[in-house]
Order: sequence, then structure tokens, then C-alpha cells
Amino acid sequence: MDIELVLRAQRGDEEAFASLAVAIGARLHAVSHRILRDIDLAEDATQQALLGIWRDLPLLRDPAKFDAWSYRLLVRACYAEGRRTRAWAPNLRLLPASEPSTPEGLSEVVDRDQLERGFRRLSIDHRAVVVLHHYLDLPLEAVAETLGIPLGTVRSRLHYAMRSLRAALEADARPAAREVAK
Amino acid sequence: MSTDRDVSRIVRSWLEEGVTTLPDRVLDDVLDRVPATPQRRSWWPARRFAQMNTLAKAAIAAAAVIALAVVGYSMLPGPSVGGPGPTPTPTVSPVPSPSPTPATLANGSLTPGTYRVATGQFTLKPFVVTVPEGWSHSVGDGNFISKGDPWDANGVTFATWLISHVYADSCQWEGTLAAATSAAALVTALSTQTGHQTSGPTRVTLAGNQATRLDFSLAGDFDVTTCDNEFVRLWPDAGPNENFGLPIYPGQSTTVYVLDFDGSAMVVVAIRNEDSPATDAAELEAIVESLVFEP
Repeated sequence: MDIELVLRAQRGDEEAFASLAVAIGARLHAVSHRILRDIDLAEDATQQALLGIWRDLPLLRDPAKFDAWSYRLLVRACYAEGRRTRAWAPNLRLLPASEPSTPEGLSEVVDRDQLERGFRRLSIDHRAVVVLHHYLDLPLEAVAETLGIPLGTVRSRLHYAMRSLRAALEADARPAAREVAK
Repeated sequence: MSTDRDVSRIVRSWLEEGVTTLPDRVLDDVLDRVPATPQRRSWWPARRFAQMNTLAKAAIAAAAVIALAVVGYSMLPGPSVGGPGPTPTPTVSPVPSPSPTPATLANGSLTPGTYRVATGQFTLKPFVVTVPEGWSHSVGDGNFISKGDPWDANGVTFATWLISHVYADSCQWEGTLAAATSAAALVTALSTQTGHQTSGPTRVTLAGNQATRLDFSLAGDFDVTTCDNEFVRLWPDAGPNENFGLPIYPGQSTTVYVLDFDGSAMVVVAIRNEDSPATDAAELEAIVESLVFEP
């Protein structure tokens, strides 16, 4: 990130912040969408995060840590969206009856649906760890710093989340596991 | 059954799918709201050059420290500063003779030696302190002599301060500011201040002067989001100027010495963090003990 842009935005330079928002907006939105699994919620979370970044920038003590700090605000915004909405109840799409059968068990199409269901069962805490680590490719230490939680907690959340996703992949591979759309 | 590696690969591949762009209308909405969204006021440890660029800061910092060093050197009676100050603890590395021209200023570090601070916004009386290797003086943050990042989890900091007001509660601080101009009033205000842990007050001798010592601390897991503006604030700059002042962060321990100079108060502050190395804490203590006020 351009430190000078961060410093200027910290001092209230709205143009600098606009440049900053353009530079990071898509990345933040990609992360919020992957955590929340809902485009409308993700847009709201991204908006809230960007406004929070603008509002709190003067409080950022080390501009070099802007990226991690901005992800932390984004995850907080995702928590807020999660609390604000009831959309967390499973909102699943029925696989069409014409869906090709998958004798091998884990076809990519079925994997996606099963992962979606398994992921939605996870809390935002667990989702955030999975996305930061497996999507942003952040080392676990960086995930811990970004979320402001101990490394051990990151490890245990990731372990739990991946175990749950694995179980979802394996259990939901059975046709009977298909759920009705809500 | 799929292996852990399979699951990770599948999850990573699955996460790659999804939006990667932010709709313009979302960004536009944010930028439309920015002018009506006030930024939170920064609460930095002390004064900083908020409106200056980096080059200007560096130039001013250079000028200030060179001036300090030259003046300090010219006032020294000999190759080392004596006086009534206690001897540094033996665990601290030896301090070389002072240098008239600190050469490491560009990166903010101080040449080991003795430095003088003149009367001004930081002190009622001129004083000298002896600084070992590895310390820096943050002109932008005020009269801060630090090792490491003073506001990170392992930094240590020495500072002096002139205070006119103190918050009654350092966490729920809004609307609790009260005047405390005399040393006695300041001790009372700091002793009764809530929002953090306090040890003391105790009477001590500092640089040959009677002083009152208080020790403040904040647990490492303290949730500052419960506090006003998410900061724990001990006091603002004199005036009061609430744009600046001294915060205390989770995991910090702040020792405050209140000195009484002819009825007026000033404080000497020593700040440690929970991960500050013991050797750095010992050096901080030695810097405090090296303090010598001029008459």
C-alpha cells in the first residue's frame, strides 16, 4: 500500500482516501463476499468497512500496517452484518433434479454446493480465519495479527472449520443430504 | 475419503470463485458520505507534526536534536555529567562520553551520551539525562526518549510532561476533565483516577528532589472498545489541549513521578510494555536515575 496515501488520508485528505478506497475496495469486497456468502450483505459490509477506515484512520499508529488493519475493520463489519440480519439461517439452493449424478462422489459441482452449505454453518469467526488463510494466503501469524486474536485460537478455529468442511464434503456427498430451498 | 490436503485444495479452489470487483455505485456511495463523516480525533502520545510532510519532519527533527546536543555539550562541566544523580545500574551498558554531533539522527536514533532539555513546554526546569546506545528521541511526538516502538508491545519510553488537567476516569473520560495545577492537586487527581490499575502514591527522591511516585497499568486483555473513543487517557496536554496527551494501552505499565517546583508541578514518565525486554527496562530505569535538574 502507498504509505504516503495512507498518511495523507490520515490527515483528512479526501482525495487521498478516494484513491485509497479505489485501490483496496475490490479486495475488501472480495473478502467480505467470501465471508458472508451474500452479495448484498457483502456490499453493506464493504461500505461500512471503508467508512470505518476513513473515520478511524487517524487512530492507526503504524501506517505500514494499513492492510492488516483494514482487514480487521472489514471482518468487524462482517460481524456487524451477521448480527444485523437473520439471513444466516440456511438459505440454500436446491440442486436441480436434472443435476448429473456423481458416481465418483466429489464432483466439482457437488463440491461447490456442499462447501457452500458447510461454510454457511460456520460462524463468522471461523469463516474469517478460513478466508484470510486460504483466500488471501495470509500465514497464520498474520491472520492472528489481523484479527487481533492469539495464534493458538487461529489454529483451533482453522482446524475446526476445515474439519467441518471436510465432514460436509463427505457427508453431503450422499444424495439424501440435499436440502430444500428456503 | 479425501485427505486434509484435498480439502484444503478444494476449499482454496472454491474460494477463488466469486466477485472480485466492487460495483461503482458502492464506492460512489462511500465517497459521497465521506465529507459528512468526521474522522476520529487522533490521540497520539504527544505532539506530532500532523500537517508536515516527512521531509520537513526530518529536517526539523535534525535541527532540534543537533541544537540540543550542541547546547548540552556546551554546558557540560567535563567529559561526563556528574551532579547528585545516582549511578546507573551495573546491568546497563557503559555510556560513552557525550558527542557534540549525534550522527545517527537520520534514522531517529541518539548517539549515546548526555542530553540537555531546556525549559519549555515539556519541563519547568532544564535537565540533562544520560542515554545509552539504541535509544531515539522522537521530536514529532514531543520529548520522548524511547527504545523500540514506544507504543508497540515491547517499547520503553522516558518523557517529561507539564500537566494542568487530569481525567477523573481514564476510560470513560469524556466530561471528566478537572484542573490539577499544583503538585498536591495533581497527586490527588492521579491517585483517585479510575479506569486502570494504580499503585501508590509513594514518596520517593528523584534527581535529588522530593517526588511522588504512582504506577499505572492496564491489563493486556483490557478491551479498550469499552472506553470513550476506544482510548484510555491519563491526561491531555497543558491548557488543556485535548488534541494531545498521554494514553495508556493494554499491557502497558506507566510510572509517573510528580515533582513540585516552587508549587508548580511537572511529571517524569517511564513507560514499559508487557513484552519490553528486562535489559531495556533496566536502561529505562537508569535513564530516570540519570536525571539531573539544573537549579
